[in-house]
Amino acid sequence: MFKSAASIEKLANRLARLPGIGRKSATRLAFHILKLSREDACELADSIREVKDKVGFCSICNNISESDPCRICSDPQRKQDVICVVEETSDAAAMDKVEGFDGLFHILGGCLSPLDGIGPDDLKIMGLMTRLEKGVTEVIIATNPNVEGEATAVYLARLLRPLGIKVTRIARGLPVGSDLEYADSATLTRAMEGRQEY
Amino acid sequence: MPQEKTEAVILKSFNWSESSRTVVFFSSDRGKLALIDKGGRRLQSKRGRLLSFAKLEVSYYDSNKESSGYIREVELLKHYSLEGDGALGRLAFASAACELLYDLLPEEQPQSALYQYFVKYLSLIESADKANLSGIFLAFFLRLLSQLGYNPSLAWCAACRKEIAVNGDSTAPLKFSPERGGVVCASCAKAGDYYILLSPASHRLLQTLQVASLTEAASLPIGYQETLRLTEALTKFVSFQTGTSSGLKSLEFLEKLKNSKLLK
Repeated sequence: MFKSAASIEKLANRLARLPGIGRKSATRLAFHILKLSREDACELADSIREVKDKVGFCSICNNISESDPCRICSDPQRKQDVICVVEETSDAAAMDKVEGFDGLFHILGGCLSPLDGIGPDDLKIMGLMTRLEKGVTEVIIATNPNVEGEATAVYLARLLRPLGIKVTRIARGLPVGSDLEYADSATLTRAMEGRQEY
Repeated sequence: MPQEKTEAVILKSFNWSESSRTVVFFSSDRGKLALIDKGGRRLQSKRGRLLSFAKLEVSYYDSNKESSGYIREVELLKHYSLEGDGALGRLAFASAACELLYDLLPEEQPQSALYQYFVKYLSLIESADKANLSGIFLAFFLRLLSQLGYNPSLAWCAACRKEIAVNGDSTAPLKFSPERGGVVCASCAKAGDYYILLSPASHRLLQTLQVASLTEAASLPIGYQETLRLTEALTKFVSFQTGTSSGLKSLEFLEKLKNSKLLK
């Protein structure tokens, strides 16, 4: 395609491997990078290298981190006896914004999924069980409110309840700022079931 | 693009960007139908949530070209809740049916009777006693094969078409040949060929399930190992007859649950 500049083609090919980037977008990005100043282009390259060199996984909660244990697990100000279980790192980042929650996280690395053949041993549940031996009093299950997330929650609850630990599930219902008229009956049913005294 | 409306259940979906995905439905009047769900992964999407294991009314822009149509609006008609007692088993058997339909249904060929049968199946998977889920699933599997023209031969030899006679007290296993399309009599069985051995009881059970309604099948409690054996025979049969991959991930999931180190 770019016979006079094979390196542009190589860069476009690499960019096209990224999710959501097609061949045309990759070519546009490659030309944009070519037009960047040398400093900006090198900064971009260094950032990519740095991410690969420095970022790893926390050996306790499986969150992505530049240190082990991660910033959250090593923070003594956080409640050490409450663990919020989520599917992915991005879920932990979202839950960390929740006001009033200052416990720890545990990232499962996915959820139980019959259609994808993902069973309990494919998730980081064993690590969670080990953590529970250190005086944990509550496990908050914050898996997604879809069929697979619910199945994972059911499985975890069944596994944890016999240990005498308080197991809770985040509430399900209407998102803030949404319109009732657009909500489906399943969501409204959940919202009604989870209503609270005002 | 013309606007259409159909009743459908989701079989599978593939995310292809931050907010969009392709959703494959089993539609009451269009059969297997793939539609693009633009922006549907966003929480604030106002065209209705796409729930798995639910009867949905889907309004969409049809496409006459090779590309798929677009979902315009979704209305939930009935959600099959798979929670409660035996939730993981219910989820696995509901998923297994979706997997089979996704693999076996031809694109956009109406299968109205099969759709109604599938909806009834989901309803029973939601409500039946967990001990009876296997029977319901196997009956669904056999009916699906029959509707699509892949009925395994159980009463007659798949090779010579002679009736398979089993003595009442016989315990000798019967040879089920996925490649030849069913049970093979002793004189047609060749040494060195691949067979799945079925006990006379398993053979009788398959024959019963082949003609049983879903409600009748729901009154036949079938053991876990027997379910796995019969499912293996049927999935191998499907694999040989249709060229699709053998094995159902959803039932492998059940195996994984049963063999999990966490429960030991």
